[in-house]
Amino acid sequence: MSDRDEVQVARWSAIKGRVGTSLRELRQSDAVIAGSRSQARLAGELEELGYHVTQSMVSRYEQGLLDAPLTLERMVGWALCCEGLSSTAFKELLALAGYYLPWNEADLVAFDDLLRSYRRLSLIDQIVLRGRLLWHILGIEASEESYG
Amino acid sequence: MASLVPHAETTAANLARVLRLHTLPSHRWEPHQRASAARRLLEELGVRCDESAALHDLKGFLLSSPRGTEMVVSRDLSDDQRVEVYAHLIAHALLGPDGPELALAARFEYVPGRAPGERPAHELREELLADAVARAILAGRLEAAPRLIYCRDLGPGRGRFSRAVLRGLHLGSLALYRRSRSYQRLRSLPVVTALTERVHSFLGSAA
Repeated sequence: MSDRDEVQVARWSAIKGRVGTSLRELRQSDAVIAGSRSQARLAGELEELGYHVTQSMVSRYEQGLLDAPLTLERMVGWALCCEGLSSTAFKELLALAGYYLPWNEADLVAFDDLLRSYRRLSLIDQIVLRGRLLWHILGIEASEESYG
Repeated sequence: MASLVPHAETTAANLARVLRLHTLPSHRWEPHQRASAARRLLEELGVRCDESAALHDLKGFLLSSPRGTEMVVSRDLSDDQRVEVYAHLIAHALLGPDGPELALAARFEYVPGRAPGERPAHELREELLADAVARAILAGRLEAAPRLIYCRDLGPGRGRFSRAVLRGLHLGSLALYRRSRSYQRLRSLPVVTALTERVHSFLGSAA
């Protein structure tokens, strides 16, 4: 294993439990709004974004059991699929993964407004918007991603 | 300056000019030519356009961030509808926030009848105003909208007094335009547009 891989694995080992808990909370907090999003449905929606994450992987990531690091773009895609997402939760999740989101108070409010409008759209529109948001937040094209 | 689209004022003015040119009898273009010209212009001015999206509730949307500005338009729209969506989104950009640029901003154009029932009041107010401004752009007569919408800098003026009067008139016109549909119709009449241009030229010319 290369030094770089070792660092990555060590880093992931240190955060995977907390990342998993955060992602589970985001998925389960849907229950307050529209009923809990199932792991299968989440896996399906991630698939729509171009990320191959099976239901079993969703379950194991949430329990902090998977050793393969969850890439930042999948984490963002996962979060965007959850109706419980808020700007603060989003910023905290990304900070946990070591990505600083340079958003100020006005940006956080604007993102919450955007999330509210976005959630009122049909799933078809949400899927298109998610793909574009990935680019604007991380600079990553949804269809480019294929690993990890 | 609005930050939803880079150089929103220039973009709106150029889009209106292109649409006006293409309505002249000598240059009358087919709808698909107008739509292509509008798209080309937007892309030249730094707006990425995607007309291939499969959308249901939306005719299109605008997303803007430090990574750029893009307009995503439904693939099911006709050429005329595409131009209308572009004009609408540019109108939103003109009406957008004046403050520092947001990290991420969006505007949605809904299919009639599919907009959510409960939208914030400020969103509905902006929508009504954007309708009027988009009509001015589509007619190729941006000047049919109050000047402060598409040109925040009123120029030097003849002096302090005339500059203050000019600013007061423009602010009054904008306030009326925001509140009254009748005034929007009145303001778009060519005779009223010509009159306001004259008043502006008279008070706004540098001495």
